[in-house]
Amino acid sequence: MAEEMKVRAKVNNEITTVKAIMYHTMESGSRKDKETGELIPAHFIKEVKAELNGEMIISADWGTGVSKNPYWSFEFEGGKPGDVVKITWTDNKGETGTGEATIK
Amino acid sequence: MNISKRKFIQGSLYSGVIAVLGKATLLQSAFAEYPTAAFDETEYEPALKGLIGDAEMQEGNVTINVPDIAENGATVPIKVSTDLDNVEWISILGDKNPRPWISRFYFHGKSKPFVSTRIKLRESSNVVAIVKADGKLYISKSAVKVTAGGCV
Repeated sequence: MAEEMKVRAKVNNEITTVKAIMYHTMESGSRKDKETGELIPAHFIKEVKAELNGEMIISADWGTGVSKNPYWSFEFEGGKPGDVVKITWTDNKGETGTGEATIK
Repeated sequence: MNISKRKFIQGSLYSGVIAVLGKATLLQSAFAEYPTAAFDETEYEPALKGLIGDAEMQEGNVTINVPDIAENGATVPIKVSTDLDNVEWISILGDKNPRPWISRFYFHGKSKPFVSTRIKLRESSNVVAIVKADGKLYISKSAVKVTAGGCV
């Protein structure tokens, strides 16, 4: 299975910074296939959530205006080295992807 | 004396009610529905209305960090932050996009009211960030010149 996500998490001065790249086409549904001239169906991440040791920190709703292979960085307090940050996405076809990072 | 005492009691009752309402709103927004009304719109004003209805907004208190000129509209880096407390969410829009509403981030627990992401811009536009904090709405805009439009 193709890699779904890269996640890194680092704590500095009690603030944990998370950086993630999710591998997803983020097809808007308004682009045409150059050969057939037909619209390429929309396929994009709709919902994302980030958890620290299983507890929700940030969640998001996305539309088709988020770039292909979405990059997302966020910050929170209270993370310690060894804690686990988990990101989960769900797209408009109901597919899901996850990625995890141990805080350094 | 009696009147002022009664007023005081009334006042504290009201603030109690407001506190309960405020908490209910926060709980609701933590599990907010996908903003379909905003997503479905193809023009900026209706998309904005789909997001916040007719609620009033204040200008400022929201910092948008975007390039003045974006060579590639398919991937424009953006950072949004605010110094406001009790931030419920930050939402990003592009006023010239075929679907102007782009994203909304909800802050729980000890998260900082900050987001860094990459967005598509079809053409030169205003990038709009809206913050909901303590039940109030704040808006900032920043112009981006796009030299090659994103495939949106």
